[in-house]
Amino acid sequence: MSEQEIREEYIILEKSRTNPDAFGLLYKKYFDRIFGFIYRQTDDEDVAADLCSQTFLNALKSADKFTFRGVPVSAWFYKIASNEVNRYYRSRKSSKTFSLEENVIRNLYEQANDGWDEEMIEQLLGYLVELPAEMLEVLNLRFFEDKDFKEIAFILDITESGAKMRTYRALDSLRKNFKLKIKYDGKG
Amino acid sequence: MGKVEIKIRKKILTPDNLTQYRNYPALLKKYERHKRFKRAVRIFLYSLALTAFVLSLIFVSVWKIMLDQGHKAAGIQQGQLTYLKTNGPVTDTISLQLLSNQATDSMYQVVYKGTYGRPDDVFKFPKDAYSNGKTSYRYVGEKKVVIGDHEYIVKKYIYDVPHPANRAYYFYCPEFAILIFASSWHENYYLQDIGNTDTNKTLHLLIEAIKADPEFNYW
Repeated sequence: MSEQEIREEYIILEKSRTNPDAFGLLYKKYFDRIFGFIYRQTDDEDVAADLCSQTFLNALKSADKFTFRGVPVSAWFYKIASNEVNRYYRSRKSSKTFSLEENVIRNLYEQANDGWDEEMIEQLLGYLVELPAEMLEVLNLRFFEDKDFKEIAFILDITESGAKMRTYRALDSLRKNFKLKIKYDGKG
Repeated sequence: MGKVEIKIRKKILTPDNLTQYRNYPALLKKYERHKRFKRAVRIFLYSLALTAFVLSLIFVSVWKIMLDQGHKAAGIQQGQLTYLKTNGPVTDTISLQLLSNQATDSMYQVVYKGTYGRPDDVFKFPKDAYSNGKTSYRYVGEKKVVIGDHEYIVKKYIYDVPHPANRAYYFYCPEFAILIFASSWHENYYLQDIGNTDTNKTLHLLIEAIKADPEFNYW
């Protein structure tokens, strides 16, 4: 996303402080992505719909608090969504669920291996399960949402180098053990 | 953060199957409701603050009124009073500044400005014998004096200290101030002039009435 596009979105957000209808443009543009992001972490469409709605409502309520920090407005939505998901799990006191799209895994896997290997996929899941949740969050943003490290840092409230380090550690093992073609250089 | 559960799902979310969840008008409605609620809370808090402010003003006013009621003006409130000072055959006049003359339920409090840079002289006279013991001034008795159609009450006090040489007597009329100071070493002060010729006449008659009653003026 170019600097110009980021600024244009910021201007829309500024307008929505006085005219909530303007926020509709951002809602329309990012609803599906935020829904997918939440759905991947809840595996429940109704819950994802509720949390997604709450995410945009919170964003609209605090539109006047958002300050331009060089990241797209969408990063702010992801940040709110991430907080909503965490709050949801805290209130339920249950462990977090990540549901990964088979087609994405399959594409990645088949690029480096000969065909779909169920046993290998089981091993991959076994590896992912062992990862701490904060590493999975980074992988989710980097791998499924295609976020750069600056955005990941903003969304998870960590430093950019911290985001790089977490991604590197999580992906390095994946690349070595499963020959997955996942980039971690931050260039998308 | 604890461990997580990982699932692989076949279902792919597409814009079409998310249409049912995409509802901006509903979101706007929620937002409007939130704004109305926020406004109501703000109004409530402002009203609360305003009520607290008004109540505190009322409280302060009532407190001030009660305080004023506790210290009612007794007689002359302020002014330059001239006393005739006598010590045997020697006479002189002395000017004292009255700062306040007030009455509470049980006491009279008369304050004169201190002379020659000394602290103010504060006299706390009990209203009657029941209030004796609260200050060093002890109520001894009183005399009613009728002048014209008005009845004045003159109260007599003794500055009750152990050493007789330091004792003093005071004749106080609440409608004026201290009429007579009489010390044990024969230095006496008689109120002569309060700045009003007509009232001065009444004052002189009161002092004469005290002087004419040996039982009352004994010191």
